[in-house]
Amino acid sequence: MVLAVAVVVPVAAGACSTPPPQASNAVPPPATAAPEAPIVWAALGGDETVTTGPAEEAATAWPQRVLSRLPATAQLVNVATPDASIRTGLTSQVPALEANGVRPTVATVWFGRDERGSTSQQRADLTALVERLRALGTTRIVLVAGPGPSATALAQDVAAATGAVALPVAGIGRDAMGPVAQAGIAEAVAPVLAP
Amino acid sequence: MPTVGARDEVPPVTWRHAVGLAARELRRRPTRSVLTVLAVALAAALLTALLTIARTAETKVLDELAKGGPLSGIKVAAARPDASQATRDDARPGAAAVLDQAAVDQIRTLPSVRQVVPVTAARATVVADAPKRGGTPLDAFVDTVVGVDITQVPTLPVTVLNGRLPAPGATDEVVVNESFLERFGYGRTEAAQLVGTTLSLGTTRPIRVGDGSADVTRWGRARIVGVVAQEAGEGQLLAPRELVDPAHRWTTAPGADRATGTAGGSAAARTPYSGLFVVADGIEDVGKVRAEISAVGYSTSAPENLIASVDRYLTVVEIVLTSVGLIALAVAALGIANATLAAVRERRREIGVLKAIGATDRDVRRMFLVECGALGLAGGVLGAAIGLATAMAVGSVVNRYLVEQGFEAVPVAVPVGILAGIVVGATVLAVIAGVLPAAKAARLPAHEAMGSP
Repeated sequence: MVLAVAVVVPVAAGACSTPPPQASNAVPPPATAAPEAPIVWAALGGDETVTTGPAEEAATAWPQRVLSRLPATAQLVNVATPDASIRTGLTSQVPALEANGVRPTVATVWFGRDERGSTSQQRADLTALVERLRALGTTRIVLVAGPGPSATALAQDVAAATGAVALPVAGIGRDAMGPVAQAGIAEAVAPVLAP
Repeated sequence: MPTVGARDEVPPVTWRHAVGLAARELRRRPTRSVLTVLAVALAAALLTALLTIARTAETKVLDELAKGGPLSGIKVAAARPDASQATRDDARPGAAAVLDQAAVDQIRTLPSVRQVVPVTAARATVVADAPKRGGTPLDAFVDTVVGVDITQVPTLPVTVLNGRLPAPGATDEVVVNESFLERFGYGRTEAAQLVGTTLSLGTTRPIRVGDGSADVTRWGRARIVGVVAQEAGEGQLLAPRELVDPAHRWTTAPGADRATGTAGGSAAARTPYSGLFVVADGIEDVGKVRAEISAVGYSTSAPENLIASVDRYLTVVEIVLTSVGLIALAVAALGIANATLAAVRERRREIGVLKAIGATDRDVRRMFLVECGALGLAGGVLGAAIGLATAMAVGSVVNRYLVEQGFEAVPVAVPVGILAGIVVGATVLAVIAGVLPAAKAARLPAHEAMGSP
């Protein structure tokens, strides 16, 4: 059964947003605006985020849907792996970015389904993961929180502590990989990543 | 007033006089002149049309064999050569080999190598925004994206069938081939259905996860801007190297090996270039350059033997067609000879008068030869024009058919050399045809000519 997805997007507005720099009157703007640096989006996570599965799933996965709504020059480096936990992200997924010279401008992090350690350990690992992403130059980090209450709370705690954005998703249930749920997740994430 | 026998007082028959006399004579018998010119013109037109069409067909066939690239193009694979490859056109690659910058530089310095264009490739998962014919979504599929320096495309075996090429350096534009269209259920004539739509291209590599590994993917977006026929590399998509190189590096970079202990062990995985397109100085150098590249250690392929065979057949066809046209011209020349002989018979009195007032045999001969030459020149010019128009008309009909079938039209080039040759040839042939009648006229004694009825 495909559950209806009600995605709530109470983004912690202002948690990491900074006002754009004001142009100085003394320095006239250039005649033509310099091209914006392309978005490099790193997607870390577990099964819900993987896009290397069967052809049909690869085409309808939420990262794919979000990518199609970003500017054409945007790149997605999806290092999500099946059955991954926050620790997997810290020990495998972030190192994969580092080893390949990927410098994400934005990142999404969505774990929670396969966590095994204590909550404090998860908090410490997620905080370390966010700091490692910051060290790579990532300016906007979105912690997708949910669907369970503990995962939501963890994401919100770490977001508050690190300046990341917590993006709670609710109502996904156990069918997060179904096409309806994936479309709903994409609807929630795309506005947060779009420039 | 000159008197008969006072040769010194008679001005010689100049070229100007000869031309004037010939023109007057041609005007005096307009029907015969027009018919003679038309005979030459028809023969020249036939020859012009046949040679123009044959030459255009030859160019098209050879271009098709070379798939848009130069006839002296050689494809080099990132693989070891097979011992028998030098005598065969098709690739016989051995084991995978690393084709790196050092190898490119070495091949670039080989004798008779004019140009070396590196080609990269990346296997990518393709997710298309556009649905198949009928609106059904197309499942993601894996294919190869071939990367080339777009500014070098005129050198490469790439032909644009629809739309345009990606802009040089663009990281968000690709072109696709006909096989790609077929995935969507479209033919070549329906390419516009996909041009302008967008793809996601994902390249995958493994990373170490715990004791095992898992695939991760780097995705980018690209717009389809055209449809091409391309033989630069094996793949349904062609893009600037600026798009393909990062994807290629993602799948082969050794950095992840150190970090995660996975990927990139084999030569096929480590080669920075998947192939090269090497242009030899001339088609006669292709065999030699292939042998040199084999000695460096890479597999090659080139359609040199096929091109040579087809070129021989086309030469035979051209000889046959030329012969047909030449026979027609010879018949026209006989017509000129016959008409000139008739003119000599009819103008015996005039010849006698000319000789009586001091014209020499040479002057009389020149007069008739100029007349024949004028007929040949007029026929040649008219025939070349008619022949070219005929070739253009035939080309237009053929091109309409080709376009209806979804093929590229073949422009009929104006063969300036052929046109000039036919005009000159018709004139010379007409003069040759007039030699015998002119000699006969020149030999006529004045008294005999004057006494004729």
